[in-house]
Amino acid sequence: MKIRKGFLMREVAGKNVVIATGDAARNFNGIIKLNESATLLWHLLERGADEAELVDTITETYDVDITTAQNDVSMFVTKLKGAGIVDE
Amino acid sequence: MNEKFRLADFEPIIREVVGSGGEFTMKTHGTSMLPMLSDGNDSVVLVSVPEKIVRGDVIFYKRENGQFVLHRVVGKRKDGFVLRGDNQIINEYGVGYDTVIAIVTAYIKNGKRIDVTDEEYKKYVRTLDGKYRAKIAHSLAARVKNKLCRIFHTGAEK
Repeated sequence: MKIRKGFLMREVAGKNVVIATGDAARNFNGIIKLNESATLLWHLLERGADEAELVDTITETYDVDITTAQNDVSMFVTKLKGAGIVDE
Repeated sequence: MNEKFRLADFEPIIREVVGSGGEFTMKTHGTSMLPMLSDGNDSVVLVSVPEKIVRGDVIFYKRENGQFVLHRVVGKRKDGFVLRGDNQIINEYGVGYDTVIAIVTAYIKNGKRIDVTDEEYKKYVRTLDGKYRAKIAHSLAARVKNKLCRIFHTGAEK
């Protein structure tokens, strides 16, 4: 999976948010706010990563069990896919 | 977006998005652009500033005091654009091209996107001059009535 062209992370008032530029901004309205772990996942997805890699990174970085990490990653990825932000 | 951001926080983002050829959609607040835009309910779709801004365009600009405004261009003079909200009778003068951040290409009302090229919108814009003249006449009549009331009231006391 990879972040589609046109979607960028920017800092607004100290928070990381996802914005759409160019053609991507024609079909995407709104802002997605990223917390610390989502920001970490975003960076991985910028260069391309599968769900297993994302889960591994979360379990290595944070003190969470694999089931929690899988659930959190799945929710995040579903949200990004639903908004058309990531390519398979 | 549950968290409140200030519009000023988003100025660089708006500039980046429209500057990249994209559209930036945002909710509007205030009553100056009624009935086109109702307070907190409707959204506008912003795009980059064209080389030429013409009468009838709705522009998103920043005043010297930092206030962001969305009003319609009703004229142009040597010192800049003349602007007025659709629900206002007072003009704002001397608004420079360089203060314009973006221009409205469409708005979203009750979930429906209305482009400025739509006939429905053009028809609305054509009615504005007549409505403005009616508002001015109404305002003038109210002022005359108040003045007469004051004169006769004062006269009755003497």
